[in-house]
Parts: sequence; structure tokens; C-alpha cells
Amino acid sequence: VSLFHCNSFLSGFISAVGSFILGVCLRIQINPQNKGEFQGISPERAFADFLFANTILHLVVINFVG
Amino acid sequence: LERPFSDLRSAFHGLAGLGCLGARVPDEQAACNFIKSNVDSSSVDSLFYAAQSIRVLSGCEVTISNETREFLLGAVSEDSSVSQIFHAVGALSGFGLPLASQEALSALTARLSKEESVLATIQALETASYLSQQADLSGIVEEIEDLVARLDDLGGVYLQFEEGIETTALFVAAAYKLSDHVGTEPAMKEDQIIQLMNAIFSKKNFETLSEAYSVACAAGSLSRNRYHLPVMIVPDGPAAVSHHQPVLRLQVTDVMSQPLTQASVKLEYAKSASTKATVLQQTEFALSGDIFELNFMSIKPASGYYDFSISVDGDNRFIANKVELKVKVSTEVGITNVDLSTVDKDQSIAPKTTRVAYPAKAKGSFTADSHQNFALSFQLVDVNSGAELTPHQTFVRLHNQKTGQEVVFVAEPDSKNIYKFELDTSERKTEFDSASGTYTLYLIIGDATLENPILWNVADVVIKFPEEDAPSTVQSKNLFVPKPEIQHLFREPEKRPPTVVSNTFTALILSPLLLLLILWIKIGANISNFSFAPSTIIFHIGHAAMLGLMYVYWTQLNMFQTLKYLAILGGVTFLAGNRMLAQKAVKRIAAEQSSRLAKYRTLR
Repeated sequence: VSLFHCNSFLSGFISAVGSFILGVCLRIQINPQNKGEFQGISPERAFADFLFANTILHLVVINFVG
Repeated sequence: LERPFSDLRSAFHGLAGLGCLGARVPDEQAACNFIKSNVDSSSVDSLFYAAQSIRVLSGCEVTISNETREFLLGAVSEDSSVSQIFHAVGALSGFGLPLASQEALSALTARLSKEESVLATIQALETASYLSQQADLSGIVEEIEDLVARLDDLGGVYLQFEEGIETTALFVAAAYKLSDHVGTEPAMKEDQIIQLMNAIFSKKNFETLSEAYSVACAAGSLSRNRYHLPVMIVPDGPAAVSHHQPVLRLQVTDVMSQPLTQASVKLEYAKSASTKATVLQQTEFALSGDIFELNFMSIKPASGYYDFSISVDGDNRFIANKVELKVKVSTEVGITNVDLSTVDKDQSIAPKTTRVAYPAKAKGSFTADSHQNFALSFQLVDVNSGAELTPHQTFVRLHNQKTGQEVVFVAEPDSKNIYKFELDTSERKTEFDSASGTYTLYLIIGDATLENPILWNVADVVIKFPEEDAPSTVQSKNLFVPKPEIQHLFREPEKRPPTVVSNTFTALILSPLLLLLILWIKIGANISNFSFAPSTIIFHIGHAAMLGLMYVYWTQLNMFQTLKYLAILGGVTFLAGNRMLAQKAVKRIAAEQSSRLAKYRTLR
């Protein structure tokens, strides 16, 4: 752990918040009742986006956690 | 100039330069042959160089054919440039051929109005000096004044053309040549001439032969013309007088270092530099051989620095003939009334005083320890005048015989100009590093105006210091020994809380994950859609590998390596995932279609 202990706390915090947001987005996109608002995006596409965004989020978080 | 000439132009510069200086050419016959073989009849420049060179060499003749003469005469017209006219006229007069001066003059003036450069004007000046005196050369003479106005003033000390020293020197030579020829004084003021001189002679080494030639010609013309003769006054040897050397010697020469023996050198005044009182006025210097002398010590001045103002008269042509010099009068110092004593600190016992005479050494040694101080007092007088002196350097140096240490103190004069020095062992302990032992005492007297600086071993002093601190510190004074190496201390990692605490918190953080898994099982999350197709497996493995990479990144990798691995893994995972999801999508759409179809059928 480096000197900047605040970095670690912040990265954990951001990880939690980011994961929450991405999960909510996935759920919204997959819900069949919302199909009208997501015309071009199939559930599979939504899931793939979810995974991709998660990867980037974790990359950033791991970098930041020091 | 001793080198063999490479071409006619350098031959000209070399020979003409020597001619200007009035020196003899070393090998005239060889030079003459060289010129004869190299002269090129079709070029005006080469003819000019040849003509001027043979003027310097005596008994050298170059035959000129008629065509060459016609060619030269034809060159003197308005169509050729000023330098061509200059070279043609110079060549014609050098060869002794007749020349139509008026025609040349008109061509020159017409050409000059077209060419404005400084070099062209200078060449016009020289050309005019070759023309006969009947021609009306006043127009050319006015050009001198114009050129003077074009000189650049550098800081009030130098005056030169922006083209450089060569042009300036050529200008001086040409101006004087023309003025001598025509008979009128050149329109230059005295300070300007001094400044010109400073500029021209500021360089000691010349790069090109033409530069050397131009400076030589300038020097020659400044020494021999009829109007202005700059004078240089230089002290012969250091400008100092003393009792051994009571005479101040000056060399008064012209620019070419020829002594001017007809001049009369007079001292206007001599003032002391510190008190500004005039010591001597209006005295003549006597001439002995080539040097002017004045016996300054006859008026018995006190030692120190003096400002002299000297003027040189005798010829109307002299300029720069008032000079200010700084002269140093030095004297010898003698030490008197030297007393060495050991003074008891409590002052209960009367001090024991020993008188020492220079240059003897005091008999017996003195002791200085915690009870007694050692004191020294002396007086410095001028041997010749008996006045008391206060030189700049009065040091007392103590030299430890065993360890080689030296400590130097300054002796200060009191109000009666008696120098005193006292050594208190307890006060001065740090300077000596508490090294007890026998020290030799030296007295050092020095000053710029002293002829005999003094280094005198006065006595031996045994110094005892109260506490014997570790004498091993003595070697630390040696400054030139490599110092101990400094090891680089990396920053200590910080104190971390004990492992127990961090482990506890790790468990605390991971517990919700456990909770998640338990709850998932409880609510019966299904993985029934998991088809064991290859792409699915690859996808899951790839995804897990990416997560594992994140962990590894945290522990050891840096960003670049991580990105590299991530790209590979991500590519694989993406492809596999794409495949898998596409299959899923197909299945889902098929299921939806079949259910829609079923609904449709039931509705019908």
C-alpha cells in the first residue's frame, strides 16, 4: 500500500458505485417491459456492454488502489 | 612575410606593408622575379599590385608593353568601378607612365557619386594622392570629412568603421597620404585620432595578410605625416620608485616605437592618491639615452600611490600628449620594540617581558596555559623616514611542529600605532583543536608598498590546553581526503498496523461476497441455461482470466504490461463471448417466435 492511503479508499468507493450503476443499467436494458426504449439493443448486447464496462472500471480501480 | 608568396596580391600586401613600416625586404631579387613571372597584363588589379610592389623594391623593372598602357589608360573612365580606377591609376603611376590627371579625376568623382560604400571612398582618397597636384582635388578632400562622420564611436574609447579594423586602418593611411600630398590638414579632431588609434592597434595578431598590411600602413602614416603625430608614453619597467630605484623612467615614443628625443617631457603635477595633496609641480624630465628620467625620491614623498600628470611638448604635431599615470612609492619597513610576555590571568604576578630584536629569535620558550596568556606587541616604522606604518597584512602565525597545524591571527594596532596580540588559551581552544605542544611563532608583515615583506620566526611557544580532548580530531582538518561515503537510505516503509487488524478487515470486506453466494443459492438462481458449447467455455475461462489479470496487476504488473495482456485476453474473450451471446440470441428469438406463433394459433 502506498503512501496515499486515501487513494485506496477512494478506489474501493468508486468500484462500489460503478458496479451499482452498471448493474442497474443492465437490469433496465434487459427488462422486457422497457423494450420500447432500447430498440437497437438486444439483451445479449446489453450483457456484453455490461461486461466491457466492468472490465474498464476494474482496470481503473485496480490502478488506483495502489 | 617570410613565407613564399602564393599570389600577386599577397606579394603586394607583404611588400607594401614592409615599405610602409620602413623595413627592408629580406630577399629582393626573389621577390622581384616572382612579381615578373606572375604579372598578368590583362588584369588591372594584377598590374596595380605589381606596380606598387616594384616601387618598394629598388632596382626592379617590369617592362610594360604599349598595349598594356593603352589598356590601363582605357580603364580610367567612368565605366569602371572605383576600385578599377584606383588600381589603374596606381599602376600607371607605379610604372612611371604618364597619366591624364584631370580625366582621371572627373572619372573618379562621377563614379563616386554612384558608389557610396566606405571602401570605395577610401580607394578614391588613395587614387587622388597619386594624381598630380595641379588637379582640383578639394572635392576628394571633403570626402575625408564625410568618412569621419561615418565612423562608429564605441564607448568613447574606440572609433572604427563598422566594416572593421582593416577598413579603418586603410582609411587612416589614405587620409594622411592625401593630406600630405595636397598640403592641407585632415579634418579630424584630436580625440578622434586617439580613438582611431586605439581601435586600429587593439589587435595583436592578424589573420590575413591584407589586415596586417593595412595596420602597418596606418602605423607608418601616423608616424610620418606632416600634421598629426600621436605620442605614446609608457613607463619603462614597473611604475614604482623606492630608495633603491629613485628614478622614474618613461619611454616617450611615437606609434612605431621610435623614441622622440626632441620632445621635452614635463611633469605637470603629482598628487597623492589618498590625500590629494599636490606633492610636486612643473618639473622637467631629463633625457638619458632614449629614456626620460625624473628623480622622484629627492622630495622624499611618503609611501603610497601617486597620480602623475605628464605632458609632452616640442612639436606642433603632437597629439595625445597629456597622460595620467599611477606611480607607486614603496619603502622598507622595520620592526621595533618587539615585546613578548606571558601575562598571568589573575594579574597577580607581573608580566615577564622579553625584548627581541629582528631578525634574531627569542631565547628560551614561552608557556601559555590555563593560567597564563601569551602577549606580543611591536611597532612598525618606515626605515627611511621614521614614520609609523600601517601595512595591510600583519599576521601572527602559530605552527604546530608535530601535527603540522597552523593557526593565523591578526595583530591590531591601537591608537598609538602599536600592534598588540594576545593569546588566551581557553578562548582559542577550538581553533587549535586543543592540540597541546610546541608551536613556532611567526610574524608576517606585508603590503603593496613594502619592498621587504617580513616572515620572521620570533619564538617558540608551548601551549597547554586544559582538557585533553581527543587529538584524533586533528586529521579532520585535512580537507582533501575523500570523505566517508554516504550510503543512500531508501525511505523507510511506514509503520503499518499489525497484521491482525488488516486481516480482520479483509474478512469483513469479503463477508458480503459470501452472503451473496448464500443468498443466491437460497433464492435458487439457476444456471440451467448453461450450454456446454466450446465458445461458452472459452468465454468463461477468458473472463475469469481477465479477473485474475486484474489481481495480478494489483500485486505486480504495471499498466503497460497489463494492457498488453488485457488486449490479448480481451480479444479472445470478446470473440468467444460474441459467439456465445449470438447463439443465445438465436435461441431466444426462436423461443419467442415459437411462443408468439403458439399465441397466434390459440387466438385464431
